[in-house]
Amino acid sequence: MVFTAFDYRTQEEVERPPELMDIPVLTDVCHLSNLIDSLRPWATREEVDQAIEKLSKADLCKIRKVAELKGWHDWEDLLSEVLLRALMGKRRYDKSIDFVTFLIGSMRGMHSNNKEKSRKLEQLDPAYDLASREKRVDERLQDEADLAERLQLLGDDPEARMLFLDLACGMNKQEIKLKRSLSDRKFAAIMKRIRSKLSGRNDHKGGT
Amino acid sequence: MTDNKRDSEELENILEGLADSVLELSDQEILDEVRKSGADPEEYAERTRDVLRLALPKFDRVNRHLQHLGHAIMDWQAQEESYESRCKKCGLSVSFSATSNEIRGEASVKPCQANKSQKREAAGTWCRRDIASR
Repeated sequence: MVFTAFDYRTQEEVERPPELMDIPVLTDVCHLSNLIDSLRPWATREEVDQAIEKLSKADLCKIRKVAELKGWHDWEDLLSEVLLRALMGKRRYDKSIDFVTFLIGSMRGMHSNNKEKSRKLEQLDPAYDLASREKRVDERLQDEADLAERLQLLGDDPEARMLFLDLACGMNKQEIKLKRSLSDRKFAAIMKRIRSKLSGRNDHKGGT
Repeated sequence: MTDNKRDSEELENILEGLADSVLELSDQEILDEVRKSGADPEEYAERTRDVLRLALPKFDRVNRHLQHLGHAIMDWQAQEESYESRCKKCGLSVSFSATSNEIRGEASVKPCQANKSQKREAAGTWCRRDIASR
């Protein structure tokens, strides 16, 4: 609960009975984000430590598996940096969020930021136009080859190929299930076959 | 959309979908899947925990060092290659590189000036009181 008292300058000026003194008061809408920030249950260093120790074997396997499937070859650096940022206060851990979700979400964010940063740095290079054109052609060929290779790895499995192409189009699980009339179980079984066939490919070669 | 962007997005969509599907697996399913890929789930998982644990001493070392000098550090700002901050009390700056583990800046070598003057003030008050009471 938060009181709003825009006619006052500070929360100390707002008279309240003693039992309501613990409730924060917002006196200026500009302070709203700071107030929300101060109310979030940020984890302390000790709580982050406890969260790490509480991770189960399955949780830890999931984190690494996601990183490998995404083709993050620098996953150890990413994970370490995510945790350091959580401790340093740059991207703190809100205890109300599942720790695995927080770690993977932060790794995703950091990976895409790093990609964006290196793209911007490339554009600052005076030789960008010529070099980038060549690079774009190379990347395009590489992405085409990656997609074709992955599709080939699925072999003669029409269901897996169908789902693969649906995913490529940007469809999510619900959309695919609806379009293909698949149950949860059937969808999961096909995804498992895709992961199994592509896992060797993703462990060793580049993703995005 | 250019062909290049489309191919890269298609690949990203697929990897995203696969990654999401892993998060939906039960504990037993993920352990089976790791085992099936030829890895030992125990070792596979512990490597991840080790990476997480390694970040903690880095953070502790920086904090201990700065606290020892009397500084109270504000939230760190992540820069290109390092983290930067200032002491809340004296304003001296400090930077920390997570890759080289180096701590730099005035706050990393000089004691907190605000702490010093507070101590001096406290000592002065005590002396004055002490003299007055005699």
